[in-house]
This record gives sequence, C-alpha cells and structure tokens, in this order.
Amino acid sequence: MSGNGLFSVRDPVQEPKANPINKRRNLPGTPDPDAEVVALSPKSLMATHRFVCDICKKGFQRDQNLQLHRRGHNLPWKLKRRTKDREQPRKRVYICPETTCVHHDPSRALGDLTGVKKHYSRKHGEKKWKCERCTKKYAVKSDWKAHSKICGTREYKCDCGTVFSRKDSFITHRAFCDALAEESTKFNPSNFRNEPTLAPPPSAATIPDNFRILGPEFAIPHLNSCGFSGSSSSAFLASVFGSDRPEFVPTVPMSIFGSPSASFLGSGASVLELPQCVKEEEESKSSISDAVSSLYGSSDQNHPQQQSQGLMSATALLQKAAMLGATMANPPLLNDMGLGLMNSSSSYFHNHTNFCSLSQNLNESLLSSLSSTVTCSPGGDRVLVFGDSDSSSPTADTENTLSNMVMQANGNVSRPRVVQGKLNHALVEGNLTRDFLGVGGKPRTHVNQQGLADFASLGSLSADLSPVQFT
Amino acid sequence: MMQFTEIPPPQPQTPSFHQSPPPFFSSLSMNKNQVHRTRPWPGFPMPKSLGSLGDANCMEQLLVHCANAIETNDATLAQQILWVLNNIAPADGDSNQRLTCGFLRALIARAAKSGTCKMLAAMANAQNYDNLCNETHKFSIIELANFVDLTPWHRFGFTAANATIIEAVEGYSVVHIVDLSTTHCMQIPTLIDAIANRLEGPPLVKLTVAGAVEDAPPMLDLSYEELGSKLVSFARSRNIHMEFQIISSSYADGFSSLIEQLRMQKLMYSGGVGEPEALVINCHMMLHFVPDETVPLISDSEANPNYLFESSSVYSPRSTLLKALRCLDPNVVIIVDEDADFTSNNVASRLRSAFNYLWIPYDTVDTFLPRGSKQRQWYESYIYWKIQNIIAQEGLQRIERLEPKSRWVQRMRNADFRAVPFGEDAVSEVKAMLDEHAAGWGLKKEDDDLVLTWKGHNVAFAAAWLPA
Repeated sequence: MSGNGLFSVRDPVQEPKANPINKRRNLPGTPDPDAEVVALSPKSLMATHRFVCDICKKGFQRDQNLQLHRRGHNLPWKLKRRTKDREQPRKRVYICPETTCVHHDPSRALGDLTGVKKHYSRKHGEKKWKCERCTKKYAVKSDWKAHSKICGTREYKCDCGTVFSRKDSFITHRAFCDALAEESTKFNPSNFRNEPTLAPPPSAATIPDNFRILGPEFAIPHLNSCGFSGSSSSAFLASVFGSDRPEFVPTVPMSIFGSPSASFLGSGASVLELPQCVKEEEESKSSISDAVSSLYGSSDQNHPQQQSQGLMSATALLQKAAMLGATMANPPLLNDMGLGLMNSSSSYFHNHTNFCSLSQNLNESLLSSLSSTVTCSPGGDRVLVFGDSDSSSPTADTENTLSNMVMQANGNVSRPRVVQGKLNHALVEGNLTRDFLGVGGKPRTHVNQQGLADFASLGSLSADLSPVQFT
Repeated sequence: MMQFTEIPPPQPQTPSFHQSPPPFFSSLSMNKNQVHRTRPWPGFPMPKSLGSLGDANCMEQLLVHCANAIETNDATLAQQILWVLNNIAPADGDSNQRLTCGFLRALIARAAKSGTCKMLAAMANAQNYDNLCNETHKFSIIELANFVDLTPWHRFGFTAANATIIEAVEGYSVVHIVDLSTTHCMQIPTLIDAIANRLEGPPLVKLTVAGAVEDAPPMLDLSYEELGSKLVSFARSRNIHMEFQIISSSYADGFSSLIEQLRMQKLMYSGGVGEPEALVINCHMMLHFVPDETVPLISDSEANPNYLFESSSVYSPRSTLLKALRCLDPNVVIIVDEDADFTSNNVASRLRSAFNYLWIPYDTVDTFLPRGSKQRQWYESYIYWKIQNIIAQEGLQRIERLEPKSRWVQRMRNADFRAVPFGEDAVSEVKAMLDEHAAGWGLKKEDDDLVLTWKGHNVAFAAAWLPA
C-alpha cells in the first residue's frame, strides 16, 4: 500500500479540487508515495504572484522576494519567522487540474511546480507563442525560445530554390523536382524546357535527346562511316574539351574504344558522359560527379579505370559522337504508352548473343500479344510485363512499345534521364523509334540482326533531327 | 440561435437554397408561433437542452435525423432539417461548421439520388456546380509532394513502413516493392534514400504499382510512366538501379490481375538463376477501397458464378486479396490505413462514424493552413469527396469502406499472417517526425501496431505482417 492519503489545498482563493489518493502501486517515474499531493485550480496554478505578503497582500513571484519585502514591514521578531520553517518541508507533488488529463490522478502527479505549470500550458493551454519561420506554435515561452534557436538552422535547399525544414519533405520534393530533372537533361541536351538557369549550348541541340546506348558492338565497326553535320557537333565536342572537367572527356572515348572486356554497361555509361559534359558549365560539379558515379555504380568499372586509358584524337571523338547521336533513338514515346516498363540500368546483358536472342524473344512475344508476360533469356532476370492498356491506339503503342522494349533490352543503361515531364514533341512525332525497328508501317516485321546492323550503320546527324531511315 | 421564431423565415445564406420553398418552412415557423417552444417534430432536439445550435453534438444529431428522414423518404422533414443545417453551418465557418456543411451537401446529394423530392434534386444541382470546381483538382507532382507532407497523416505511415521495409530486406540484393498506395508513390523517394544509406551495397530495386486510381483523390496530372521515370532517375542519382513496372489492375476486383502477374513473375524468377528476391507489399490507404463483405454482390459476369448467394456470402475481394498476398509468400506486408469504421449499411450509423472521425482533418487544417489558401481548399475538397462517397454513394461506387484496426488485424490473422512489432528505430523515427509537426499529433503503440493520434483520437494505424 502506498501513499499516506494526505493532500492539501494550497490557495485559499479558489475552490479546491479534492481527490482521494489511489492506493495502487505507482507507475515508474511517478511521485514518491510519501509526497504531499497538491491540487491547484487552473487559476491558482497559473498565478504569477504566488507568494503573498500577509500584511499588505502584495504578491511576489518568488519566496525570497517576499521575505525581503516582509523585512520592510518592521515585524516583531517573533512574527518574522514563518510557521512553515518549523516543520520539515514535505515533498510536494502536483496534479494537473484538467480532469481529463492523465496527470490529474495523484498517482501520476508531477514533482515540480514549474513542471506542472509548463505541462498544463503545453497540453491544455493556448499556444500564444508562434515561431516566425515555421508554423509551429507553443504555449510555453521557453519551448518557443528553444525551438527558435534551432528552427531554420537545419535547412534543406532544393536546386529549384525551395527551402525545407524537414528532411523527408525535402527528399520527396527533390525526387520529383524539375531541378533534378534538369540535372538529368545533361544526358538529353535537346530536351530543354524554358529553364532560365540552363542555357543549353546550341550545339547540344543537334544531338537527339534520350540517348540510347546500343553498345560498342555497333559503335566500333561503324565509327568511321558516320557523317554528321560537322559544325554543330564539333562545336558540341569543342565545348566538351573546353569543359571544366577535362577528366571526363577522356573517359568517354576510352570506354568506347576500350578493351573488349569493357562491359556493356560501362561503355554505355561512359558514352553518356559526352552530353553530360556539355552541361557541366551550367550545373554544379558535385551533382555531376554523383550522376557519373551512379552511372558507373553498377558496373565494375569506375573512374580510375576509365581514366587510365589514353586520349583519343579530336576527330575520332567527333565522329564517335556523331555516330552515337545518330544511333540514339527516342524513347520518350514511352510516355504515351499505357504500358510501362522502365529500368534505370541493367547489368543483365553481358554479351551480344544474349541481346539478340532476347530481342527476338521480345519481338515475337510482343508482337503476338501485348498482354503476354515475357521472360528474358537466362542470364537476364528481368521480366517485362504488360497490363492491358486501353489508353492509345494499338498500332502506335505496339510500335512504341516494341521499340522501347527492344531499346530497353539493348541499352544497358536504359535511357538515362530519358523520360522527362515535357518531351520534345518534335522527336515524338519524328518517328525515330518506329523506323528503328522497321516497325512503323510494318507492324509485323521481326527485329533481326539485319535490322540492328542497319540501325547501327545510320550515320546522319542532322541538325533538324530528321528521322533515321532503315532500308 | 434557433431561427424559428418569426415569419417569414430568414433568408438562407447560400445560393443553393435559393429555391427553398416557403410553404415547407413557413409551416414550420407557423408552428413555432402558434405553439411556442414545442418541438416542430418529434425527436427534434430542443435548443434549451443543447445549448447553442453551433454545438457539434447538435449538428451531429441534426445530421443523423436528416439521414433517417431521407432513408424513410420523409421529404418534408428532410428539407426542414436541411434548411436548419444550412443556416447554422456556413461553408466558411469554423471547423465544426465546415464539417457539418460537408455532410449537409453530401446528404443533399444522397437525397437527390433517391429521387423522392424534386426540390432536393434542384438544390443538389445548384450545389454540384460549386462542387465541380472543387473536386477535380489535379495535382502536379510537386504540389502533391507538398500536399502529402502538410500533416503527418500520410508521412506517419510512410516513415513507419520505410523503417520496417529496410529491416525486412536486409541482406537481400534484389528488393521488389509492390506499392499499393493512394498517394502515387510519394513514399518512394524517402524509401530510396533509406535504401541508399544502408551499409551493404545498394540492391536492385524493383517497384511495381497498380496503375493510377482514376476516381479518387488526390488526382495526379502526370502519367505513371512519367512518374516512374522520375523515380528511376532519382534512384540512379542515389546510386540505385531501379526498375519500375505498372501492372494495370484495380481495387474493384481486389487487384486480381496484379496478383496474377506477380505470381507468374515469381514463378519465372525463381526458375531462373537470379538472386533471392525480397518481396515487400506496401499498402497505404488503398486496401479500404477493395470491396468487402458489405458490398452487395453483383450478379454479372464479374462475380464468381459459384457464389451466387446474397451479400452475406463469402465472396469478398478483400479477403481474397489478403489470402492471395499470403500465397505470394512476401517478406513483409505493411498495412497503413485510417482507423475508422465506415462499413455499416445503415446511413445514419455511418454518418455518425464519419462525423466522429472526419472532424479530425478539419481540425488539423486549422493548425497549418490559413483560410483562403488554395491548399486548404484542395484539402477540404478532398475530405469532402470522402464524405460524399461515404454518405451519398452506395454499392460499388462507395469505395470508402474503412474498417477499424481490429478488423484488419483479424483479417490478416485469418489470412495466415502474424503481426510483427515495429522496431525501436521505426518508433523513434516516427516520433521525431511527429515532433516536427504541430503539437496535437501523437503516437501510441497498441499491441504490435503503431497508431497516429490527433489530440488523443486515433487517426491512422500502421501494422507489419509476416507470413505465419
């Protein structure tokens, strides 16, 4: 049995709130059973001048101040002593006057008067103190002060300029923010919107957006057979050379012409460096290195490896860039699809044969039925699934789907930053993808080696992005 | 505050009541004049006993009476109460008034549907004009990101779920997340961030969604393909390979096509050489859309022909879905939903439940959104959509079939799952998150689950399940 069952009412002004002491064991952290439980009414609890001189009724916030004041009354010596001093001060615990509160029960009384005052204000009081920076409000001034000290000190700033005080809202925003998308348009230089902060180099516009890396198998043999509209591309690459991050430049050609053991992903990824470099002047360097490292993240290769290889000549670089630009198709058609499968990268495809068989698999199954489920060949453990789509015309979607799917299969780094919120519609209508597979107008054509080779042999990089034609 | 003392009755404030017919209400007021202080109709709460009519209890009672009147086709009574309500609950009043106004509009819509009173239909039409502007706001992705984070309503579930997911997929190099959420993947960025921060190397992440919910807010003005690509880009920026897949499937049939696809994928995947894949099913406020036993059985081809008996039969897409999820043998299933009971077939009791739950969002709005702000409008129209769906809709259109936590727990147990408590990390993260919001939000642990509270009242719960 705990508690002595005694309680006292402190302030004579207000009516007391009497409560029998609970006889059960106290919960941990709750008051000493021998303590005196004091029940104060809200008014007396929140009274500011608790210590009242019995002679002149003047109120003071602290007992010491009251004592000092009493001295001034020239009291006889006897009366100077307060009766309170004689008895041992019993430990006092206080209950919250709010009846619905957990701490209204004497067994959950709070041990400190200041504490219970703060508790009462916080829980049951009006929040008079408002933070200037955020929307938080406080009832207790010291809480407000403590918060103001830290509010705004930890701030998260998105590239678009919005500031967040909370990390999770910052992350969520950043994932979808156009600012991040703008970073990713390093890979899609032509995919510019009216972003004042990004002044795309005019040359970059000549490279079709949404680069699709087909891989070195196609790139290498046809390197020299590509033509391009010289000035624009050379300007583009000139800016590459002129970039502030020259170390990126050599990595680009290196991986393409690099050792045959270079993985699909690695070479594919590095090719993407090209347009990225263009943007470096506009973008922050750190984000670029992040993006680059993420590109390489999945492959075995990394920066040091890339950079260890020698430099390519400018002409070769230019030719390669042109060829690459020509071979990039336009995946954003994906947006129009009711079906979707996108992946950021795949390390699944490690050799050419896999790719071909996969593409054939894909093509057959895709052509036969849009709603079938396709498994890729062994070694690749990616499954393409389509649900039923009724959102667009079957033929258009089939073509787009097919081309996109095959592109997916082809590209180890699938359409990096490919699909943006707002697309280059000209490209969408430009039938780049359709003709790639020979699908446009010939919906049942199978993708085959011949088609792919044809694709790779395309060379024209024209400023107006004329559609790539297949024989 | 009772308005019944004089003739003619004071002019109604909103245009929708412009055509309120004098004959109906003058009878009421005449009544009052002749026999002062008697009840206009039996059961009408006397003002004396209730204090002012602005009291929430009074409004609730009026609404319940009105709902009953509509159900019993008592058009006169219904109109009278509607008129009273319209006067005491303006759309721009305090939170109780706005709440009541929402219910009022929903009741009018319901009454108009029952077709017994043309006048009500006219009122409803006049109102719908207002509603149309409100309800169909399509959020841009950034607006939605902001909207979802205004209160911990969703973020609570996100945080608890993400912490649990991270724990559950530890050690796996392939993680497959199936996200069934009404918030259009707003949970995913922070999940990606958490995955990126884990000590062992980043896994391959596969994200599967079921296609956008077209007929319930919040609506997104971005296609899921674009949404997915943004997520994939973001994941890449955090050095994570992510695959995004949309499987067109709907809650209306318990996501049967999604389950089918997942099952097939699992078969094929496990047949291959690939690494073991951790399967995570994350359900966020979506499961309550799936029809349960209270939905009247439809007799067309959608229903299983073997179950042709009445609605109390076993055909319940909700149970079927949970059992099917169990068959997928997931690593963890997380259910986050709102803790209320809107399944009653009786409108009045549903109204009572809804009234005693939906006051919460109206109340929280006051803490963080100033009046007149667009976000407040969107928020309140979102709540209004819910009210409308609960009160004015029936059958398959009524998709807000919330069940309290206890029933979900029971369902999961029946589906052969066992509850797993949230770890210390999850709890402390949720607490820290709540600290950054207004002071009324709280967290409590009930059995193995976490419950979000506002001023002590249950708002939403989060529960994690493993195959038993």
